Amino acid sequence: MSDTAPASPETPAPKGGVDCRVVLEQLWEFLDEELAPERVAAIRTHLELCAKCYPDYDFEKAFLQAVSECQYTRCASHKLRDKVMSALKRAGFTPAPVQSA
Amino acid sequence: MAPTTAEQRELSQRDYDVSFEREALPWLDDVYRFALSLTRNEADADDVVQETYLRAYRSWHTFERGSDARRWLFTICRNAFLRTRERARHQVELEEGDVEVAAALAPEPLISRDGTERLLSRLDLAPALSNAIDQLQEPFRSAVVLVDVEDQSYEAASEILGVPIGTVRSRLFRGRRLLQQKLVTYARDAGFATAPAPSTTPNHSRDPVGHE
Repeated sequence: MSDTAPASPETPAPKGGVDCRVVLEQLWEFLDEELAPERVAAIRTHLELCAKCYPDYDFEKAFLQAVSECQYTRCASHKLRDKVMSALKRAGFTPAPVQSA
Repeated sequence: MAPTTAEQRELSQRDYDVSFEREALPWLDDVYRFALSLTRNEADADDVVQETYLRAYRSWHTFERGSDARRWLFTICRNAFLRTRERARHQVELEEGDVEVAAALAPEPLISRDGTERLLSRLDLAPALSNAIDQLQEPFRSAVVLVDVEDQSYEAASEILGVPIGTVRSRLFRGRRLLQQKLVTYARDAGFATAPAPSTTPNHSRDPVGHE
């Protein structure tokens, strides 16, 4: 699969050297910081120049941000913490003494 | 005076416990969230978390100092989960091949920005997204939770789940698309009638007109 579209008199060179199709295909990997630095730079340049792709980037970025934050309110209960601590103590664990103020 | 063998042993045990408390215990909430994503049941998640920490404590001497304790705990957590399921004689591991084939063949829903972009700014998405993640099927849920909620890299998720990176990627992307699809349904239920119907158009071909 070719990553870039060939430049010709009829078709302008792809922005950033990478075409929209590839940018959209790799948008999540770009946002996840899973791409090679050269590809990151190319996609970043493309996004700065391409009015069509930028909204997609903006949307996916906001979506991933929302997903990353949605479950952080879920915490282990005090009951579970006590249960884990009791089990560890039975296994030989000794917690550090609580420092008094 | 040089410490006696008993004193050395006590010191060593104290170091062992102190480092475990400092490096492993702070990740209890993270391990709980991951366990919950695997079990989808709070009581079962509690059991898996307890088992995870017991195993981690007993194996703490094998933990490589300076490496990622959370990643190490997630791996133990997944193994503990699989073990409890084996014990209960439940079939938990989906047929990997079938699932991957199903994921590959399943149509990619189109989530058009025209309808969903407003959701991100106008609705409190946290409860809807949290609920949607709970409803995601395995193996997509654990990939989404590890990478998107717990901020693990593809490589770390690959190690934790015991699958190749390409499999993590396909599960993650499919899971994200399913989440977006669920958001569209949520939007309709919440009265955002303009949300578009999911389409079978592949993601990369959306809005091809006007793109290079």
